[in-house]
Amino acid sequence: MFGKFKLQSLFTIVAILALIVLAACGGDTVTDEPAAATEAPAPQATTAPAAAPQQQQQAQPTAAPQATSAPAPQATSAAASGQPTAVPAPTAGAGITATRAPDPETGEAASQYSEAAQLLMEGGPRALAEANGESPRYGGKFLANNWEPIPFYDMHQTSFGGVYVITAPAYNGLLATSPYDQLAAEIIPDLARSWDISDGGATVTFNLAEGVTWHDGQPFSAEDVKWTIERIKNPPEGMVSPRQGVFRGTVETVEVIDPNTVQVKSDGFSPLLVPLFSNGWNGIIPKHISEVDPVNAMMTQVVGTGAFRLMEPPTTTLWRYERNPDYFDENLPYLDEIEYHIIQDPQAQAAALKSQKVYFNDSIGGINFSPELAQSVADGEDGLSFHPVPTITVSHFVMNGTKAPFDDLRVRQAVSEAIQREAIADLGPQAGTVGTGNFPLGPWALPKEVQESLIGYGPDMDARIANAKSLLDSYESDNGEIDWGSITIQCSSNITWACPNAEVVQQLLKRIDVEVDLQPLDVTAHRGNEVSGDYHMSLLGAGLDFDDPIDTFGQLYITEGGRWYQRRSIPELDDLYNRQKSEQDFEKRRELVWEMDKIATNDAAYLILHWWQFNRVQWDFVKGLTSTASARTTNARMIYTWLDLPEANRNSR
Amino acid sequence: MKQYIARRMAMAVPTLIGVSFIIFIIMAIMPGDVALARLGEAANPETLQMVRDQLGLNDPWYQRYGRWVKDMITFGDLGESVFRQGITVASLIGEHFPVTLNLAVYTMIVAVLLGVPLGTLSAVRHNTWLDYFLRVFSIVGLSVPVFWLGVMIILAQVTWFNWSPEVQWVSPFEDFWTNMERMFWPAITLGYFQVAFIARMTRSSLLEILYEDYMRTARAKGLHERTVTVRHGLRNAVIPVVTVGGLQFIALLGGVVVTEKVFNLPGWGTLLVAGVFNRDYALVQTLVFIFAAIVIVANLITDMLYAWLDPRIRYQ
Repeated sequence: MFGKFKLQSLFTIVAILALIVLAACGGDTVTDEPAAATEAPAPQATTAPAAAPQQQQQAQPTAAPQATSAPAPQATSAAASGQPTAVPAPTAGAGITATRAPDPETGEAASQYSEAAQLLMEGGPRALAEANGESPRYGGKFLANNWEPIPFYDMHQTSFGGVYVITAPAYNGLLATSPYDQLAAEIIPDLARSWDISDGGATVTFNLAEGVTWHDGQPFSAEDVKWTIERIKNPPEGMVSPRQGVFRGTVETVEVIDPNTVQVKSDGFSPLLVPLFSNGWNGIIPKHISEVDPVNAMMTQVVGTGAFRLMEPPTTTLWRYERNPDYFDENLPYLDEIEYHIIQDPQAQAAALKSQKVYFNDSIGGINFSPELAQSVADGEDGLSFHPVPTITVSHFVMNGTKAPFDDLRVRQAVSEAIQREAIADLGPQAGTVGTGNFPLGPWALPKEVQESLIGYGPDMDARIANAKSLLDSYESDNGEIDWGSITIQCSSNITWACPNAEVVQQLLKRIDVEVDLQPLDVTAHRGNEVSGDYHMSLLGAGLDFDDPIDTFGQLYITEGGRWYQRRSIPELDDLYNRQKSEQDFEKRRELVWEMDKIATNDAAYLILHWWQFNRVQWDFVKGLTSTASARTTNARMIYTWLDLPEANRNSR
Repeated sequence: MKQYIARRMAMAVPTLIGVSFIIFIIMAIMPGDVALARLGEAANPETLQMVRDQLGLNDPWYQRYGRWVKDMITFGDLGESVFRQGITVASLIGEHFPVTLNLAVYTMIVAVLLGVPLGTLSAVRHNTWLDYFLRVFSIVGLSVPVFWLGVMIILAQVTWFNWSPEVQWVSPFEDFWTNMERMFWPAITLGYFQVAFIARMTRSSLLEILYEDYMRTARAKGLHERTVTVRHGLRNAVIPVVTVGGLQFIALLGGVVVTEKVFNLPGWGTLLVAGVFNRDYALVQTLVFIFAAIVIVANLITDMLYAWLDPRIRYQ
């Protein structure tokens, strides 16, 4: 091995020296090859990211089963064109509405369980895999990559994707989503092996798996579930609970029926009551450990019921998991070990990926990979594929509704009209899908003709520019000339796409004679300003949990919502929001949701530039691990992940 | 000499106190917030305030400074990281120290083993094709930024061989060859500049000496040219090299930060960068303070070496 290393080293020394000398002498031929790795794919990646991976998948025999994941090609091609696809049927959405919708052809009432759930319940994990064209092997060590530093281990106290992803293999939730569903909406059992919905969708009774133990050997029971839910919903003093709002809005009571049964009630029908527990962040924690010090105990310990348990205390760069031999489902997990390497630098990640030191760039989609980098890593490498994934995460441009001149609708609308959303993906370093307040590839998306009638989305750019100028003239004739020189666009200098996107917006605004400077800030300072309202215009992003208006509008638009950075209160929208929450009829609810979307978009304080595309690069021998639209996917638990490598066994451990 | 060392060490105390103030002030006025770094993107004013209170960030500056100084001078765990829950600064620094030490040692070995011989060769064979080549080699080494060279090396290895070093660092005492495999390129990257600098210093210093009277005398005595060059020439030529080499070691600390980042080495440099991004005040302050202390000690050692190598120099 060292001989090969020596040979490589010698060669590289000579090559580097030659390259340096040539570069110093003005030579240009030698630099072509390394440069091509990062530069050549750029135009393809930004304009048509979907095409390349599809071609690569076709070239790989092992990729064939992925054809069953139908939404992927639609989603990626839409991402590439910047246009949303046709609105999917209600069954594609999250929630009870989706899973209980009648069959549109036969009219028969559908099972409350998704197809994936039924496969699991009837045939076990192998049936689910085989239905998706896979024949899992047991064994192997999965080499994973996480790019965020880990401040603590309690996923309930943060919205850091890194914390969730790296602790996820140790935990279970009550429910999960199918590892093959790219929308992360098809709910499957986890600790709850079945569930019954009653009271018109206001009560869910979860029937828990038996014989489950925590990694420390203590028995798991319904008391742990109750403790977890109540801790998130009503956190003890001193505990931060970012998902407290959605729990308070959804869960009324939690009752332990018996050690293996727990009942959760809402104060009426709630479309999120079931999906809430399939969100990966809501993993169940051990009461016996947490109750000792409810705020801090889980910050420094990782004890779950999950398919994997820690082999040793984690370091700042390495987390090592081994298969939990006492896992309650004897058929799972497929992997023997997981090694999570924390590599923050994208170039170092790319190098590790190409040389198979890690098998993918990030569990939640390669968030710090630009499309160009992702494409260049995958290019020319058999078995390494770029998976562009549309996600329910937005890139936003916010105007502070409490500060002049953005307290006036005309100015906000003028700015919105001038921003050609498609230009962000075309000219900036980030790809995505143009859309309004609802995920443009999900069931709540506005129809294209409606979207095009809204401020900032009209197809005729000249007409929009003319309208924008007229709106500004109107404002300035009433209030005097706007001093744009005193207004800046804040952006995050250490987020790869933020300031480049802000530069695009800056240039677009020049078309309406608005010249503003950028104010690059470190992301911590920048987000702090958004939270405190210390800004005029700001460009950053926001991650969401569910493709459901309760979450998207609840976070972004309603008064005092979780991401209410624009500080614009619209009573009419708040009222519609409350009405749609309890509407059980999908079509009626969607009408209300579209109305909300139109109001929010025309109010033009919180502009959605686009819905992100994550740029995941993954070796094709990694199976049962699909990139999903939700960054909160339970796939990060890797229960169903397997490696199609010779060293893994086909049918037994 | 002892008095000189004692005086220098005594002077180091107010210097370090001054440094501690400057570091503290810089971290205090730096925009950003560790509470936000811990909470992530969904933080809101209430949760931010709660975490700030927990971490004592709302206390007056003198209380925060006092806490940090107390943690430092008690030489215990150096306080707790404000970003990483339940982990002490001492354990973080201890976990990452071997990597940086490893890199620094290999780099200095590369620098000394290559720099002095190449400089000597260049001086002895001056104005020959070998001298010209070595001078170009040195100028390139001084001109090429460390981060660029590192990225080029990684790209070359990955593009041509699909090879990159192991992701995790392994101690040389545990597995020497794996350690070499991991550290070879970072040491070359960081060491190239040092090699170039030392080679140029050695060359110019030796060229001045080669034609001194005592060198001619040595040759007239019939000594072998190699003995004349090494014993009479190099010993004297190396004095300014050691002085500058000491200063280069200090400059190396800056290169360590960049090299570790590029090669994904979990050393002090990576820790420091992560600490700055995460606004881990306790960690960054302590680490920068240690870097400052190392600079002071390195200066002191350089002065002492200088006196040892040149008996004519005595400090009063």
